[in-house]
Amino acid sequence: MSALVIAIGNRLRADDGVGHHVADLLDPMPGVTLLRVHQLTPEIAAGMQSAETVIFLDADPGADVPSLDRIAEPAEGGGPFSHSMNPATLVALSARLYGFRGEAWLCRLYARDFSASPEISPEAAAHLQEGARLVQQLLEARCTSRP
Amino acid sequence: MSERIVIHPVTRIEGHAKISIYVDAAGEVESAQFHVTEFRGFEKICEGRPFHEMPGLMSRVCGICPVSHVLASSKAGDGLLGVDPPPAAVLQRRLVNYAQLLQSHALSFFHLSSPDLLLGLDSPPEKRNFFGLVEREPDFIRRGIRLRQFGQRVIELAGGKRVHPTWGAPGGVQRPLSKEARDEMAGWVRESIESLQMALGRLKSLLDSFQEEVQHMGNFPSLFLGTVTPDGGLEYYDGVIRIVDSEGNIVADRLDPRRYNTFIEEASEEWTFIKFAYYKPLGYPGGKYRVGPLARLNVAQHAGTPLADRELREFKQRSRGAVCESFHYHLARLIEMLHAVERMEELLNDPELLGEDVRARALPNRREAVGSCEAPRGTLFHHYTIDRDGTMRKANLLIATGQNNQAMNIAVEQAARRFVRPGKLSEGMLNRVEAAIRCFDPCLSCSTHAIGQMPLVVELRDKTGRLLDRVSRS
Repeated sequence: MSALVIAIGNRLRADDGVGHHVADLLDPMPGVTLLRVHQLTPEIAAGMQSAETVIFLDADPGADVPSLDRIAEPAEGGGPFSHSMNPATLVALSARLYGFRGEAWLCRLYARDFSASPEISPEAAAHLQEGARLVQQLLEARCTSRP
Repeated sequence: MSERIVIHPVTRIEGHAKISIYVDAAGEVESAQFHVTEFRGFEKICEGRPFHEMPGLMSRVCGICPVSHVLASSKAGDGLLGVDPPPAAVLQRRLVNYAQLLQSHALSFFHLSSPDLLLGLDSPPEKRNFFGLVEREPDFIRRGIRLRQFGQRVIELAGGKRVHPTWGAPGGVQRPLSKEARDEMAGWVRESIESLQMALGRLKSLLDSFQEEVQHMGNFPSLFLGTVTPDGGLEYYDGVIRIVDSEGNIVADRLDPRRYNTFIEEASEEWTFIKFAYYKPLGYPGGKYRVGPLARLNVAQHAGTPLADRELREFKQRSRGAVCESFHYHLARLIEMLHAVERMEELLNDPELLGEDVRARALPNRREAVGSCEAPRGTLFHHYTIDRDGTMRKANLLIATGQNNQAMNIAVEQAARRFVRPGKLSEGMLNRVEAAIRCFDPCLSCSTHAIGQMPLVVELRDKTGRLLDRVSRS
């Protein structure tokens, strides 16, 4: 099994960094690579090429609880800017340029406070374990089905 | 009755800007202005902080060219300490500066401007974007992405991260470069040169189809300013300032960048937050000058690397004097990238690059110093004043985009006069006005190109504010 976990966000912007905090809680597993980024850029698409599973961990001001959803590739590119992309456009880009054929998932994490602070809010902190559990569960399932 | 067309936002930029196009009673474009409508105040933030914090703080000025700010800041720090950084630190600074030039230019050319160049300025905006190129030119885009990756990887290996690296310091750099990092960097060189030669060939083959844009999107006489070696070669880290006019005559030479404020002055206008830099002896606005890739190739007599020298000779044949067409910033950018990779190869082969001694340490020995370098968009100056205990009293940053401000305004006006027909606005007309700005790749332009729908609304209003026409991309 080869998996790529991409934690997105800025740790200096409070809850924006929840993806990194969830990544901190994941147990290391063989075949799983962790990438930490502030934002998604086209260069990341090349690194997704050989991954069977890609999981994005991102702050979502609309998420009340952590969730893990399969990403559908958009038909028409999608996202607005070439230097700041969303997970779906990155998946599309990787598929079209590098032949990515794996599955991609987005873990949406509770986030409300985006002020300039290295500390996440207590509310966001309360959801970290659940976010990590969802991701760990998926990785373990893939590891079992595709050793 | 005169009218005003407002392009707002120009599109998302590293900041906020808009364009106003003024139309006279006869329906002809009278003038145009490029406004930057945000204020950041970085110079004020520095006051009261220890000067040795400046490289780290200045790294945050920009997400695209943080290395340039780290470098200018570190050099100002060298001056405050009164030290010369060890040779390994100087080589590492040069290497990372070229890497920064490479990744920034790759973003500008491949990601932001190539949709216009390869798909056409009048192609449908929903296709004239990065994803449109992915569909039509996958190999071209893959190469562009790899070139940017190369530059970013070098920055990451030397500075710990790709954006806002904590790398430079007064007196040198933070850490030596490992052999493993050096070897990994060297592995990218050949492929990068091949990609750049491909891109250069492709762009040159397209230029004939852009003759009208070449002639009317920022083609005007001005001065050009850039750093050169003492014998007039291309230089990005440490050298002297040369200024040439549009005929190619040297107006001033061997100027000390540390004394920039003796030959550059800044003016303000109430309608924009960017200042207008000008060459002091000619006054404002007569002393307008351009910086960046086009200016650097105009002021330099040679590149000093074989492949770039060949391209530079050909480039200079485009004009009897200086090349004044701003459209050729794109070509100049590619030539600079080729030169940067050649120079990086030289530096990676220099055993002194791996030297362990990378930082000279001292207490402050001067109260005032200037650091400068060539950033991707042009000459950058950091001027610091400190008190006895090393606390920042004052910082003045003279940034490339500000130095190109007069030129960008002229380019916008020229493009508007030529291409905008107020009675019948079209997206293609307005794209040409924006494309005139993209030539300069202002630090605003890191977001002047969208993958999909660009959030652009243009309204034509009369003096009373009545809406006469509206074009929208959203």
